[in-house]
Amino acid sequence: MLPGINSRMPRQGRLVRKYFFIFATLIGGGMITSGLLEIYFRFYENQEQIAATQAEAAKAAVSKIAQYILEIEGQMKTATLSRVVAISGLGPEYRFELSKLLYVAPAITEVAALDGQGTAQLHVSRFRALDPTEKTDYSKSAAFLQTQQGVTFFGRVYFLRDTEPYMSMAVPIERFPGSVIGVLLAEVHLRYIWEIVRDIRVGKAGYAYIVTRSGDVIAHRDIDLVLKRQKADHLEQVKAALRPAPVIQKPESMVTSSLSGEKVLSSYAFLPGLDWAVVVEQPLGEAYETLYASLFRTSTLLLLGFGMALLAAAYVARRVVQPLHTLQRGVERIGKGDLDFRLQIATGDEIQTLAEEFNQMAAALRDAYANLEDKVRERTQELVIANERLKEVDKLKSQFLSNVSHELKTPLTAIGSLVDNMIDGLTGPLNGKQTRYMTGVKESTERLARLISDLLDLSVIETGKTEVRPARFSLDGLIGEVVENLKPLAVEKGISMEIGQNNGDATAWADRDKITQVLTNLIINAVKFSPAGGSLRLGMAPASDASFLEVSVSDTGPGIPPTEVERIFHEFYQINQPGREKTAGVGLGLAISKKLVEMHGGKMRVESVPGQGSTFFFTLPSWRPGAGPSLSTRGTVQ
Amino acid sequence: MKFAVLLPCLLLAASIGLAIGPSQTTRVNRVVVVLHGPAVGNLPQVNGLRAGLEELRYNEGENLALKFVRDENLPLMRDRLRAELRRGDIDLIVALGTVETVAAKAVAGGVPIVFLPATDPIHSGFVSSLATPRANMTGLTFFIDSESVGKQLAVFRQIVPSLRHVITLTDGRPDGGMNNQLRARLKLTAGRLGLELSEVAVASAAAVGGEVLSHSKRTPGTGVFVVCTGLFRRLIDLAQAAAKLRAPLFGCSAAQVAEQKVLMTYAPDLYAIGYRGAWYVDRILKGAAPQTLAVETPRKFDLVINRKTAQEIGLKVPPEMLMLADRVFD
Repeated sequence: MLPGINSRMPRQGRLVRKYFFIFATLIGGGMITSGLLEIYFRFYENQEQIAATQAEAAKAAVSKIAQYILEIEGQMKTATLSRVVAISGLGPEYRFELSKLLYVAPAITEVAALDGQGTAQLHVSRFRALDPTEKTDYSKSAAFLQTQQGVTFFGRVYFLRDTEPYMSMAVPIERFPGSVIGVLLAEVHLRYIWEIVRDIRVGKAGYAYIVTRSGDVIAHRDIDLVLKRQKADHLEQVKAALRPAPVIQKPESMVTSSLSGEKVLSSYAFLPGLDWAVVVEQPLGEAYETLYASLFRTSTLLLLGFGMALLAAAYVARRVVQPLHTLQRGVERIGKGDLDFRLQIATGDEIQTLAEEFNQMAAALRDAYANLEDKVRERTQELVIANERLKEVDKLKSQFLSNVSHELKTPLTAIGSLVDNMIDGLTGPLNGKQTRYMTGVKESTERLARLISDLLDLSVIETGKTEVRPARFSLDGLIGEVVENLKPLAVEKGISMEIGQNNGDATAWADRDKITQVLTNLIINAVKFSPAGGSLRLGMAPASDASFLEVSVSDTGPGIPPTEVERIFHEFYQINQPGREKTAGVGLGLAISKKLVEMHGGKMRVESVPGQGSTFFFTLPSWRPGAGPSLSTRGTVQ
Repeated sequence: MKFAVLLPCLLLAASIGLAIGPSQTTRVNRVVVVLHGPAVGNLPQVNGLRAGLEELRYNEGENLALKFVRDENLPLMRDRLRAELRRGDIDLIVALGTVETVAAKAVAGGVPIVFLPATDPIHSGFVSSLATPRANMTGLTFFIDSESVGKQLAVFRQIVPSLRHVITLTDGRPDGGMNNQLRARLKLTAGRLGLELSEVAVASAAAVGGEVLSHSKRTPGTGVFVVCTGLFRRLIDLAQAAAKLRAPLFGCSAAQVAEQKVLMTYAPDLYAIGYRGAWYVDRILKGAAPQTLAVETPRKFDLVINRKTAQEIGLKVPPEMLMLADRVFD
């Protein structure tokens, strides 16, 4: 496709898309950039805040647990401050104080009062019936030895029946401050801490648990993990919590896996006196719930804003391009000829100015076109009138010729008869001079008669009165017959005549008289223009259209200049060429012959080489079996 | 031009359509509660179980169906449980005691069992260990071990200092409802406390014969100590008869002390056991395997005294024991 054409092809929506992407990129790009930055900073700020909150939760959990242990320690110390101890030491009366301790401290399941030598003087159990006579020796125990120094003892966690976590605690028994007379040793059931740990809530699903240095979970929201002696020392947060560190540990937070493999946000704190780590975990989804919700809101607003920006971009693009589309459609209509169309654009900008210019241009074009049409209509009318007049003149001419010819032919015939009679001596003998004059008169009369005859023929043809009567005849025979008739004429001029060999069928379907006339005209012309001693050749062959036969007549005359080839078939036209012999005739023979051929549906043409001769060709219908009389029987030739 | 409208619309739709969550269907969990005894009435375990389940968002008639299978005749109870299980669709069996657990174990097939509670589940053959049961059942124990029975006897003695002879009442199982360890522990403790001990096995507390009561009539300072392996639930007749003979009666639950004129008990809180049992039910209904759920032991025994009954039998409860009592009914 040509570039020029391509450039005029409609490109629907290209400009809209271009403007849309420009606006969308500018507005949406700005929004997305600011939104993403907002999300980024909010994410990290909230993450730090959540981590800090989580760490505070761990710290609070440690504080609660420490407080609970201290409460038990305080209850034990209170039990040592009984007046009974001051009065009677660790006698049987003190048993009630121990029972009271079990009553006020449910976590303590057994308590024993050791004397200064580490022997259990009294032993009370919540679940066991003990032998009152049994005096167990604890003098070598760490609990006794440490507590003797006036320091509270916290033992390592152990599991009774391999399931229940317990811990030994011991406080000194003092008769008065600084006077240690024994040790109060208690077994603390750590499942009570479970209630504290269970009640530590971090969010909805957050929880806390306690891990000992050995990695045993001793308190967890899911008590089952404790009873099954779940180990947690493989967890990253537990390793970090139990890592040797300064006494005062700063709570930390990290994203790790929980005991169940769930992703959690963990924070931890350390209980140095007990060598326990308190870990607080919250499912990551919940820990970051507010963060995710915030991100979701921001993202949603961003998407909504972006969507609105795109809509606005689309709207603006349409607004900008719409007048251009209107302009384009208007110009197309004007270009297609609708010069009354006017562009209606009221944008108040350059596009409106351009539209007004187009409107003015269309108005000017319409005016110019209207003037042109008027002139064309006027000229056409004049031509029609002139044509009618010409037709009338031509008709008058034909009638005139017909009338004149007819009127002339009658006296000429009479003159010819009279002259013949005189030459034949019917009016008496003529001398030589008279005979010569009469002969001249006779020739002139005959030439005039032929001229009139031609004029009559032409007149008949042009008035449409010529009738073609097709019949089947042998073209070879016709050619031979015409040649034979005209042979004397050629012999007289010393011109040889030759008929070419025909190998095919030469049966024609035409008006034999008309074709005889055509052939006669062509041969007479050929004889007329051929110099003495020249030659003339007739040929016949099937035409390129198989339903026609083509006849040719060649001479060795002076030929026809190329510029004259078309004109020689015009009526009354004769070639006026310097050096060319002026011949008799008025220039109607070829015109009549051509018209007669065309009345048969054939064509006549000439091929000529100046100085060498000319060949005239004409075609006529050949006879075919079953062919009917298809030629028009009457008509004119244009 | 269409894309210019389509793209924002898609973005808007995407931003709006993110809040649709999946729909949930309610499944009804079918739990059979097995009880060897009379009508359920005001059983503390059942009350605790219901409260715990409700707290865990189980509502009867909505997502929970509790079906009670009970009979005072143990074989009949077992047959009824078997028939219930044959109907299918049972998710879990809750056995409200040791004998119920034995019966449930015999007919449960693959249905998991939660015992609320069972006595010494290891020696009863229910689980292989408390931490990892390795059986299709788990739950809570009533006694920690045989020493707990000794402790109960000792506390009985502390409340009734005049006690000289104790008739231990056990259920009617072939082993007397009390395995050898318990029996040995009671004997040991009784010896330490200077008590005479005799054992009577009956199918139910209501069937306690005149022999028991006549024995207490003959021997001053006789008390009746119900060994809480069978969790005799109806002690009112026995308590009234004992009261007439001024014989103290040691029961198994605070409810018996409060409602059936039983003098005292020192035992775990059955309501708390039922309440905690709801956690096991929940975990198993949610797909946990019973063998992975550790058996819990009671953290605390409650000392519960009926001071009115004490007055009726002419007993003066030591004031220090009243002070140490968790609950005192007047």
